[in-house]
Amino acid sequence: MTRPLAPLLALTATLVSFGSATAQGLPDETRRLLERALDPDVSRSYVGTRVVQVRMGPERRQHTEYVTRRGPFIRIEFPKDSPFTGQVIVENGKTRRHYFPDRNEIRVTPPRRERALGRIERMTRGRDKNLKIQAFEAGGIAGHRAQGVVFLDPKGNVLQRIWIEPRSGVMLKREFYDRTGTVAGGFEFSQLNLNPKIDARDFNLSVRGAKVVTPRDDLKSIASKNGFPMLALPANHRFQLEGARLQNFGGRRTLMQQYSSATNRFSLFMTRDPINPERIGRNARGNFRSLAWSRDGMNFAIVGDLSERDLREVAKLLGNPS
Amino acid sequence: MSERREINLDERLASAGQTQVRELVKGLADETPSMAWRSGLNEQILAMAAAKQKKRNLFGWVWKPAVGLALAGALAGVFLIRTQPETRPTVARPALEARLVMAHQDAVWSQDAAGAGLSPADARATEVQLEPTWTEEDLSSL
Repeated sequence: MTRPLAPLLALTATLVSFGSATAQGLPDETRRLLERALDPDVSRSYVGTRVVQVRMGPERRQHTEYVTRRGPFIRIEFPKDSPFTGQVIVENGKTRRHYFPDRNEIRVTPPRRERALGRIERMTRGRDKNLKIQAFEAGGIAGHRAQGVVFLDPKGNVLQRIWIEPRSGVMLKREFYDRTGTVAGGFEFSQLNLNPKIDARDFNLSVRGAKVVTPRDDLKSIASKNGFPMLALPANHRFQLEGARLQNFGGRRTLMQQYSSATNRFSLFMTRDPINPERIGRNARGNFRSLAWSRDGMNFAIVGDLSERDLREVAKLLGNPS
Repeated sequence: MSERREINLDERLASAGQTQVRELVKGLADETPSMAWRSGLNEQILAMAAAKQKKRNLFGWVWKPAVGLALAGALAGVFLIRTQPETRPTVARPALEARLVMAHQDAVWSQDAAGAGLSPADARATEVQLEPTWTEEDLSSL
């Protein structure tokens, strides 16, 4: 993957200006806490068990994973009784490699950890400059003292809460909320060792004979099998392809691509069913920007948190005639 | 009837046998039913008739309206079936645009929750469980 330093540079630049952008009303202790949590250069090490959950439609999906981390290196594994047992995920700050033992396949994608942090810092300087950041009483998580930081919209609705171990800056727990105040997803450590013994070889992921697959390979395969055009942003664009999959929305087959940069992300949809630009704009308003167009019998839509300028640029690259 | 035949008939009726039977019949007691008995019988007959009539009336109050209603309902049903256009229940399908935005939101939440870990939106179960490459017995061999 290209541009491994882009997320790190973005975060570093943000930290330099973090104080000036959010200092107003933000206690020094809270500001320092956030800086420590978001600092990509801190070589923190830990091993732990955490539960990840997210609400998708009416379902709440949850799984447990074992996390080993040393600086930018991360290894994720799963319990023996997990449906994902045997799978291994390793990030080294440059790439993310996910091994599937049943298929003997390694899927290589851009790293996700720094991008996730980049989005948190972006919340502090999002579109709405009146975003509020406050501290709250956090109690303890996984046997460790925690300090809490909450992000609020201008009306005081909670957008996100983070529980941070103050000495190490490790995020012990995170929750984010939808418009109605319901927990939409998050994670929480149930066990955490901040002084682990970690072998550098723990971050090896090498399987001879395993097939290496990228998101672009997935896109080519899905597009050719289902009659969609092979359309994607260039591989060296700052928005990198993270995944492609075929979706079925009530009988309307749609090819969905997910892109992300250091701080922003969007989804590109391709379908033969018509897409109303005004209607998608109404549905996205308040959370995302959107754009829809048609070309050569195919209908396209972009939905994401990118700027208006980036939206137009990306749409043009993807064939928007207007 | 001729005169001769009439005379013959009179002579036969006046014979000894006929006279004897006449006397026997005259001697029988006049069994005229008493008025009290007649009255009692009449009352019984009237009572039975009244009971039957009551049953007929009851039948009329309950079953006649019921039958009438059933007939009216059947007629109405026929009328409605004939005149109502055939319709099928429709299930509202979410607009595609709403589904697209929702799909992107789900992906965002999944990635934010997982960070570097497994995103629930991309999760794929391990289909075949492989045997471990080592066991604790291997450790005890050292």
